[in-house]
Amino acid sequence: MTTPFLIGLRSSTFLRQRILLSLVGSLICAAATWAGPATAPGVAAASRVVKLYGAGGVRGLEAYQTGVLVSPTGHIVTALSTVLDSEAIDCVLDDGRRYAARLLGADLRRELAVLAIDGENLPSFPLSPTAPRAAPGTRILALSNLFGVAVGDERVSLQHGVIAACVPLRARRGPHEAAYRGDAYILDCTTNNPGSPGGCLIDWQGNFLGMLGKELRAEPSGIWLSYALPADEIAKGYAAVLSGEPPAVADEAEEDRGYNLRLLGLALVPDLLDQTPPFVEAVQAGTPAATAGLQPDDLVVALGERTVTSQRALRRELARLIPGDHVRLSLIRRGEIVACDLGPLPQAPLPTATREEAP
Amino acid sequence: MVPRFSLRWLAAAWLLPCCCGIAWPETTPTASPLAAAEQTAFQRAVDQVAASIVRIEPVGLSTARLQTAAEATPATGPSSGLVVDSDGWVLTTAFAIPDDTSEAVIVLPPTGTAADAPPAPVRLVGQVTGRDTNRGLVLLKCTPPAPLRVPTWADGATLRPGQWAIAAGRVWDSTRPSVAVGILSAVDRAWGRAVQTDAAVSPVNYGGPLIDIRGHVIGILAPLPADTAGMQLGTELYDSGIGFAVPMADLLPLLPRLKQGEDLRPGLLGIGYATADPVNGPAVITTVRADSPAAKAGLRSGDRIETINDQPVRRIADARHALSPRQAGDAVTLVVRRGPEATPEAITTQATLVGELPPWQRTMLGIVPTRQPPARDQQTVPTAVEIGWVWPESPAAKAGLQAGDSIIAAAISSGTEDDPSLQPIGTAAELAGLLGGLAVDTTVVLERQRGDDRRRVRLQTVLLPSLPPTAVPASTDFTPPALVRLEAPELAEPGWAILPDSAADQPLGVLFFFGEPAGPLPKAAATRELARWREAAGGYQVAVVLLGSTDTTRWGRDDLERVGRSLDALASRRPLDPTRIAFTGRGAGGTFAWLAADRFARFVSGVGLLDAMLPSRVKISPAAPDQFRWVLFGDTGPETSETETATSRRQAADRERLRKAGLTVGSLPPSEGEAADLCRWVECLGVR
Repeated sequence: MTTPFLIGLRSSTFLRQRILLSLVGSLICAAATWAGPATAPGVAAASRVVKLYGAGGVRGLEAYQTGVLVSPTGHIVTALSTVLDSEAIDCVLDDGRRYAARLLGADLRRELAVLAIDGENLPSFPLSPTAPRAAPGTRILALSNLFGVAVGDERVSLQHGVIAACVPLRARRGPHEAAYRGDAYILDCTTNNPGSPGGCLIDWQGNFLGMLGKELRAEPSGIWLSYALPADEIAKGYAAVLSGEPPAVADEAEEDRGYNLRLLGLALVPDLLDQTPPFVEAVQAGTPAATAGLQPDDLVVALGERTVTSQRALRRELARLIPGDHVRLSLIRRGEIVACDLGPLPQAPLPTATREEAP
Repeated sequence: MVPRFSLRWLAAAWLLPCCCGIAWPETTPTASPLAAAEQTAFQRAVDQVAASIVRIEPVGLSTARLQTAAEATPATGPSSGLVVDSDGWVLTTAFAIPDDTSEAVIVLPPTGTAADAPPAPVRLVGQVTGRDTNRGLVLLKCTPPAPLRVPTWADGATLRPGQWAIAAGRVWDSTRPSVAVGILSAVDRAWGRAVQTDAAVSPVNYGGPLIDIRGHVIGILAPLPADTAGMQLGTELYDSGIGFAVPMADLLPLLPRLKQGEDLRPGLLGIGYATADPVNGPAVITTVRADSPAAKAGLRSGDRIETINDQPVRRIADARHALSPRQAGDAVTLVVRRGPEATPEAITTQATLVGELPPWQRTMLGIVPTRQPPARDQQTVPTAVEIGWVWPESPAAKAGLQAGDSIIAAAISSGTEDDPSLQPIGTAAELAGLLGGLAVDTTVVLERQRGDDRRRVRLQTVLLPSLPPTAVPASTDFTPPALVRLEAPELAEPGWAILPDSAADQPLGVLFFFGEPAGPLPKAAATRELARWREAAGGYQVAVVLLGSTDTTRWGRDDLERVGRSLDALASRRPLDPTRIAFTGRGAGGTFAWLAADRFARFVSGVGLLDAMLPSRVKISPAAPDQFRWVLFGDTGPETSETETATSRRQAADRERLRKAGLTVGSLPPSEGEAADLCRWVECLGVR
């Protein structure tokens, strides 16, 4: 008797069709119900974003973050962080596939790491060192493993906003300055949280715009930043790691090696508080400051285009100048802004003579 | 990882439901024409107003700002400003220019596009000409090299929640404004002073414009505090999805006054209400401050506000909404109802609001009403206030009032009328409201009843003495108080309460006592304390709460929460007398008691500092009828003479500051009976 078998066959075929139908139905339904202008680019990008799991879990440090696939063979860019301090880094694709990732290298200046997984024909964002920058007001989508809420095989979280600005980053992590000082996209939505470092930033046409960085606070206000490194910087960092260039080590002693107030002939009022304003206390005769006409009680408000509101900020900005740079100071003197040009830097800084001392 | 402000988590948490748990359909990306058009519109709108947005850089050092600096809130740094007149007038917020600074650097957007000279921003000094402290705004004047561009103002009447709202600023990039996109979340917020947006508002765009999709300016972005949520600065809300902008429609008429150097301060009327709950409380005036605009306008305790400037008023919140947008100097017209509820008389009066009320100090007649059990049903309306005891040598004593007399009606005599019409008094709270705002030497007429004898007495108020009288009648017939563990949900390390047993359901006074920080209080220690407090707590019907610190070395922020929960736990067990709640402590515990009293200022009217000092750099709010505070110092004497001089000098300075702010300040003489002294003082907090 073949009937039970036939019935069995029929029912199973029927069942399969039902499943297919219901799948199609739910997709149509979902598309009709949920699709918005951000859906298509968001979905296309999600297949190129991975969740990373590594070290952490101690002292409140999270053990997860995000990465972006940048080659069909499985190269991933992500933020260099303690999550990667692990023998085993697990990488989960948006379709649930799991891989063991290994660290290829890192660009310390951009705090960017490149990982590799053994994959083929993987969807990815091609990188270009000449990728154009997006203007403020450009609508963006951010995809990341925000707070680790996407558990198991679930997709990363999608957020929307606009680019607020694109400016050189001046930020700190705790009491320390952030290593990266190049341009960053500032975003108008809260994107940078635990798990989001290494996340993907795209525009609403689906173009790769950048990678979300680690949690930072802006200088000097201390507000938390939502930001991303632009795509061209990511491409340069990726290329540097692949070419095996020795990583540019973040220069801890930058302030000590650069130019300083003594070389200009300036002494400021005693720096007793965190935010002591840069009031001039004395000007040494025969120095560039004296020649340019600086006077005691002048208040320095800017070095070139950079605002300085504290003595610390002035010293830091001064330390960044290179030989040949003009030193242009904006001062407040008796209620008026006065511009002072101290000319090109007086001499190459001497490593031994640059400690801050009264002239 | 660094600790971060919880609102930031909150902001992220809001986003989560939108971005997870939804099965995304698989499609291929195509650009949406609508999305692209909107993006173009955002950018064009900002371009429209870009030339009017400036950067404001703080100059010099604000000590005020350093003091308020906290980890969670941004405290300093550049912010933005908006050109409001072409000859150099710029509006910004007090964030960039705290009260103790008078100038700032204004950075104008770069002009000129010559190929040989790249556009450079222009720096100018801006001098403060006027401040609007009601809205936290500051007007600056600079002398620009060329006329500045004034933006187009949006029509305030057409603003609707849900419309596009774009927040712009110039902190990040001096060549091009920053952009944050959102919608208008609400109009008429922050007691009628602001509109609300969900665009990201933070120090980078405080002072910058909130614009509509056409680039017309809706208002100036400003950090206004959500005071109903206990916030004081407004910066706590940065980038949280709650941002405020002061509407230009409100500001433009005020600009001439700010230009002329006038400071606009919140306009005060000088009235108080029976309840601190603005949402449910009826707008019935209970307290009228002496010499205030309200007093001059003839407003009286018991008046029900009906309208303010033709705006209908039903609840306290309605009255605040109508008054908050007004500044000192503004005239308001009030209509109040007075007299019996069935046949009230409508009275229309005018008051000119002031920026600062005359200093106030607590006065008294010397009447201590019997503590009334909470009303069990709404049907029986109390018609008299029974006198529990009379303060020796007080005006009440001199006028012959006695324990057991009842007050049935009262009035303030203006001096001109010999026989004012009296207002019926049914509860101690009504009496307290009537007398609350009075100055020294005010004549009060009371109608008292003793048996069948009913007569009027005239009394004059005196300043509340700084110490309780030495003899205060205490009950001798009481069941000894019991030691009870004050457990409550979510209360870590619960404290202990020494709880008098009161069969009559009489409300209890409350005395929190904080010792030197030594960790949670073990039962053995609490039992020792019970012996010390038993007699006084029972005699004066005071619940003594003993709370240990969480940390073994210091009193912390968590402990403040525990104080609140303990108070709730106590109130859920026994009726409490809201006029008799005091926080005291010894040493570091005393300093903590002050902080706790600030936190629960609405309830606490007594603070005892035993061998303790005020927290350093603490701000002391001026005394007010609804924020009465009696401070009692008690010193057992320091161990060494060296610390003696330094400590006593500082304590003397503390006391002087408190007196200047109008608080009642007394020093307990050294005594063996500290527990009795403190409980007696708690009883005296209820004097009228």
